[in-house]
Amino acid sequence: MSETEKNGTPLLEIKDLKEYFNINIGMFRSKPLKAVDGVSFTINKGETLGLVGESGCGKTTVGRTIMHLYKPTGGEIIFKGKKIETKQDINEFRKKASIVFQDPYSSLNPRMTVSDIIAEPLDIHKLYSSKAERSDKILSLMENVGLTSEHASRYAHEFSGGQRQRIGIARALAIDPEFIVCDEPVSALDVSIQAQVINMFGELQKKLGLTYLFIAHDLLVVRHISDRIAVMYLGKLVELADAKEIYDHPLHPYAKALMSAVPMPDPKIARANKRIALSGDIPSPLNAPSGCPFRTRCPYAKDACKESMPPLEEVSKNHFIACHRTAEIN
Amino acid sequence: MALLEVKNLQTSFYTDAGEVRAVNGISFQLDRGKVLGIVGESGSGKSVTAYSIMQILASTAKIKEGSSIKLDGQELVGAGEKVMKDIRGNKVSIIFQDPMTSLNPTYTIGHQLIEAIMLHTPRNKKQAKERAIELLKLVNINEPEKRMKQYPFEHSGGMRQRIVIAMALACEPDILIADEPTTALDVTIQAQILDLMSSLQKELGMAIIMITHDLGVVAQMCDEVIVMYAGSICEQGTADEIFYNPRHEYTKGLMRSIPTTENDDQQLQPISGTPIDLLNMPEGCPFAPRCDNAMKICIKCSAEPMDINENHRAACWMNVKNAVEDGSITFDDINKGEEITENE
Repeated sequence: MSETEKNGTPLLEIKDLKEYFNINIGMFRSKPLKAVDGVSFTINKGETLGLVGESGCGKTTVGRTIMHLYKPTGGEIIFKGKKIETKQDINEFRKKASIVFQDPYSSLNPRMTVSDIIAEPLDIHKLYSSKAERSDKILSLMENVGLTSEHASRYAHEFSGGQRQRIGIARALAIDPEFIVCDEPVSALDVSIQAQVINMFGELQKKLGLTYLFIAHDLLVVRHISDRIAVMYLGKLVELADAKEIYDHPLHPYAKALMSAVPMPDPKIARANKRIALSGDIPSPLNAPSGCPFRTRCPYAKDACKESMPPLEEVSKNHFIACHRTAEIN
Repeated sequence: MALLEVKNLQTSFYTDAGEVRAVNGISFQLDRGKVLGIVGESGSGKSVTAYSIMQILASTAKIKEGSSIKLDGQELVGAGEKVMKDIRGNKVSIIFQDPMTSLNPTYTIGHQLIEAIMLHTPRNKKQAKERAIELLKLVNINEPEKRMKQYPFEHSGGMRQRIVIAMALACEPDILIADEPTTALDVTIQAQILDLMSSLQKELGMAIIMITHDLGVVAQMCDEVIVMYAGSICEQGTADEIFYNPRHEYTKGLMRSIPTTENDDQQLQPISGTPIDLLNMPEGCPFAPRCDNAMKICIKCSAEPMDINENHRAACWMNVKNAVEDGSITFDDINKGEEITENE
């Protein structure tokens, strides 16, 4: 990929990542559910890559597989030029990478105090030499996310959704990471609180030089926070480009429909908006269509789409798309 | 006469910790064939307003005396369960956020649709079945005969929501209340459902009350908008007025805090603080503790709704202050005006 050559080694490189889950479909029989099926992308240092798609497209699985919360079925995850393979590699990687989960209610242990929740990564990786250092670290982490020392001895249930998410972010920052997977971190929050947390992600990125993989389904939020955006459909990457480029000029038929379906918070634009209506629903990933997964709903599908999955190709600078009919429909 | 007229609606929950004023004296009207959006964050009272109209509140909740809900001139508060049974489903229908919880997983779609139709209309089973198929066609479900024999789990989220809409439309209600109807759905499916609701609304001429937290959905669907915060109406007016000329500090804050295609190079401007605790309501304007422009008077007492123009009302002291400053009203017009220009 050209951007790789330009910037030297990317911070994180995903090559042909596959994650299959075995689903039992009767006694002694199982079938692979291809949640992620051959996804490749790179993330450069200091950038935010947005990963969007509808429920069941595999975007969360990509994030979790990168963190090795699931063992990858196939493919390579390369962090700072080094392939992650052994248990030791994973351990080392997790000292440099962390994850923020969607649900601030279920991702915090209700029986631990806020300071213990935030310090858990420090305890696991033994990142302090004395008790005093541990509590100093906890305090500075809490300050980073706008919490105060009086919150330290409380329990998670005493906080509102937005504050809980701040605790989750402080925990992710504990190991002083270079890379954070943000898995729908603002979806569960109210609009007025969402903006506080989005801004905090931006400020922390500037201050600490963080790199994000930002997974979300709210396209306006993703567009706001990301440098580049990748669009997934049924376990496959269909388009990848600069945030504004993909939003203003999507090329893949699915990305086009997705972008046009975003309800704009502006009555005049919303009323004038010509939405591309997609017929039908997303097929079950257990019975994914052959070839291009989008062909069953695609208005441009033809026979070639049935036979093979089109490769992700660069059609203009930094704009990648996987479609057999790019040339004809754009 | 307005189709629905809500006056000074007050609904409270009586909990062990005290009285929670979920809806605190709101008034609005809905005309035939209009789409009214109610926006607000969690706990703002938007759903409780809907449940109060339908009188399907939890047993701990009560619509307080002095509230009035008139449908076609008929008073519903205190009308009794017998009257309400006749109203629900016939004149006012409601659909909920999660379509799975409104469908019974142990019965087929056909069984549930036919049951609803036979309950509300004088049709026999055969006629009800025909009507059910007709309704499924109306909401664009392919092969309705086959779908009738299937169970809810065999349908996707979008399809279930269509079925629920079909069920709600069985008696051609005058008002359809949609409580976050697309929040659980993906964007492309959301677009399908919103388009369907728009076209059905035009075809059947019903009014819709659209309850949502998504300003995008409001902008797309609604003629009129009510913005709620902590059980009160901050501002109400036509969609254009609310979006292009917001006159309540909370609405202004909301508009500034959402990402749009125009502000993507700037930082968002969030509303500071956290949502209000309904058990500890402040004395004055409920938004005052989070409002950057709060004045002394805002903390002391809440502002009455004031007409901005014929299509727009807002309850914010800022408007009173501006009006006093440009001379269109005097201090005598407002009793509590003496502290109004003093900034906190």
